[in-house]
Amino acid sequence: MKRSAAVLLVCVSLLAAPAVGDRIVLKDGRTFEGSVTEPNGKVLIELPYGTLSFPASDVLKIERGPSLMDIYRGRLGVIDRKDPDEVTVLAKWARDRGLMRQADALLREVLELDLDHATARKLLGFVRADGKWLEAGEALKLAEAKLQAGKLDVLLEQLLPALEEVVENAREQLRLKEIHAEALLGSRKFAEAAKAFASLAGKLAGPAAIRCGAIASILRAHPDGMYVLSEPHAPLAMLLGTPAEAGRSGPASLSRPEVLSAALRDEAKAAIKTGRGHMGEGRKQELTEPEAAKAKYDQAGKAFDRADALVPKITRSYRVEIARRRIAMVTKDMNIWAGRFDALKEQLAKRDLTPAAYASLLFRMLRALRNVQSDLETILELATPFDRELILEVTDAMLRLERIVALRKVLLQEVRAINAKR
Amino acid sequence: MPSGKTAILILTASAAAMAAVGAVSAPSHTESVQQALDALARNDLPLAERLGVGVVRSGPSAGRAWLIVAEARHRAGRFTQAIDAYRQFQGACQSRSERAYAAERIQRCRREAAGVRPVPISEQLTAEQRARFLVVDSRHREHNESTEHFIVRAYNTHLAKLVGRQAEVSLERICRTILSGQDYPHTVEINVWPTIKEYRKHATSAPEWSGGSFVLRREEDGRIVRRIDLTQLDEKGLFDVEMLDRVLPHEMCHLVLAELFGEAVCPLALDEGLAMLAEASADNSRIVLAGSAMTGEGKIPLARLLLMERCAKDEAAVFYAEAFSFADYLQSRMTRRQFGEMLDHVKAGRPLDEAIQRALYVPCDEAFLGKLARAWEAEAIKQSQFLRALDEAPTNGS
Repeated sequence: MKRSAAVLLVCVSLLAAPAVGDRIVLKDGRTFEGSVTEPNGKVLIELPYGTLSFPASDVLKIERGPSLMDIYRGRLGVIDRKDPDEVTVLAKWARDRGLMRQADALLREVLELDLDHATARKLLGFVRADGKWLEAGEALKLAEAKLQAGKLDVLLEQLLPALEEVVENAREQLRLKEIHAEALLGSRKFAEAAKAFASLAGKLAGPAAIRCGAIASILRAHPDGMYVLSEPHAPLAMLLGTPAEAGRSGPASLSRPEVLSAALRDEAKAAIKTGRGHMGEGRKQELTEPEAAKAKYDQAGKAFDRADALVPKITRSYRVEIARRRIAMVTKDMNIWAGRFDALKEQLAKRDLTPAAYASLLFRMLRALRNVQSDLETILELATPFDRELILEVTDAMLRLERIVALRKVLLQEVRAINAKR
Repeated sequence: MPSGKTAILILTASAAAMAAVGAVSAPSHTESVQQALDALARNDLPLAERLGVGVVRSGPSAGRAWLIVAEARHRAGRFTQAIDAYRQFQGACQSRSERAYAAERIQRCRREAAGVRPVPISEQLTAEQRARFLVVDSRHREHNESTEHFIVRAYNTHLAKLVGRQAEVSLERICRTILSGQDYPHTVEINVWPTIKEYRKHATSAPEWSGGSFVLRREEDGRIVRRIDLTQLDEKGLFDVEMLDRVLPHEMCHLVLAELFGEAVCPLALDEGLAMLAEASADNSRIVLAGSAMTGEGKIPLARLLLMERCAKDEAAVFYAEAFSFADYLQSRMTRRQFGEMLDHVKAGRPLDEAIQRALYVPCDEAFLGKLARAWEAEAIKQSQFLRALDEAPTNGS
């Protein structure tokens, strides 16, 4: 009874603590309380709603108040350090005012007094799970394990709400939301899961956002959670394993991860079909409108980005095919410039040229080489991401590039020599 | 008659029971669908059907659950009732792909209801019919028979009719497998020459050893010739039943594949394998030989098999056996859609391993061909061992 009264007293006294900071009195009589600084002949006062600036000449006086640390030390002196509740209240007060290091130290003190002090544990980011206090990172891993093990009730009712209170790191918060969405889906709360995945799609970026968006739309399109598998859900198992491992086609619950994967694969199929359509159009335009063909291949690439987000690396062979086709197009252009260079080189051998005409010829040769070089660089750029499949293209372009760079060097030296003579 | 105190107790108990009933509320539509799906996944077909029927009765918007009912009946082998349920589902569902799935399942039910592969025609022929097909009517050189896709010319009216019928049956089977059920919109001329000598005289582009061949050629006037040449009598002068069971569907399959591939190249092993698969019945000796080759020294590794453009005489038997076994493996492990898409990708110039992975919509794996070879070889050995064990097993009662 006595102890409770003491705690209450400390709480009241902390709440009733004087406003932290300084006070300025202006010459016109107005006063402001806050944190005062004096840069470059001005007086700045930081208030809860913003910062005010006054010329130093307008200020009658500045009254410096006690600092936050002064108050903290004062409070520390009056509490009972053996009482975990009192120490926790001060730690919370310190945390709320940004004194994180001090707050953490106090909370550690509390744990020395009482290992199971729930408030201190929570403030320090611990979560109670399976009878143990776990740090947020460990608890997140436990949540993932429970998700994998299908222990969804305990996850949704206990662990995730507890984690939500302590996880502060933005990446961990997102992972928490992902686990939450997946747990809702596993628990067959399809409408809630659809909302959770849609919300995640808005918070994430890139492939993860596409994937979550796709899951949300699949769930919205199948509110009863029944998905129709048109093929066995593990297509590779049919060929490389046994048909039993591949599963059956037919109606199945989207709450099963393999069914959701199959649904995402179906979405990826649709994106690949769109991409293949663009590729077909691009192929037709390669000869007559290479720029339009390139644009079509870019469109195909975008469709493939979506497919890859849904099933990682599913479109690699199509991308290799596009790279091959585009390399063939660039090679055609490169051959034209190489032909021009050869023709100019022949002129160099046959004609008796004036110095001016000679210089002009060299410049034209340099230009042709620059274009060849640029085409080779484009080929390398296209082929390098697929160096396993396009090893010949990469090697060939690198060797040619070396030759071109050497040739350009010679020509540039010659041009410099001409300019020096002039 | 209960006393006053007992009556109060009974009332209290029944109120508690009512409250309990009220607390366990009826499952929602989604929960009911999920329970039915669970039963289906466990292969508890009666429960899946019962729960599915319960869902569809719950309201007009619950028609999608007909699919659960249909699937349960289908798996239970109740094909007619399954077809009814698939139709109900088609009427209730909005999604085109789901309706297409149901249509495909209806076809499947019909096929399964009709039984396994039909008996080869050679086994259906009576001695009298065979004797009739021995007749070569030299006076009336050509007896024409027209069907939807074929014009058959033979030296025997009955044979012309039979070849026409069998050609349609074979074409239907080939289209189902290779063209994903699409129609073959062309007319093919079939010539049944009375003897091998006559056949060789007319089928000039055919290899000397062959007893049948096909032609797909564009004439100078732009006309496309689609022709199959066959022989009526074998070298001993007997009616060649192999011509109906094997040669006709085999050559027809080559023709359909040649038409499908156009200028593109179909790997020889795939071409021959599919043509052998099109034959009216599986030749078990091929399966046994393929399995034996895998365990012995004569094996042609898959990577080489797929690159072969011709085969030496000493390898021919293993080549054909492995080609058959591999084509059969692919066809039995892939859906029609997958198989059709794989052929499309091969036609577009992709290597077979890449074509398969594209058709399965899986990320391309460099090691895929090796994995596929191992899986196929294991299956081929198993099948071969099984057939040999059957041969070696003592027969009962004889």
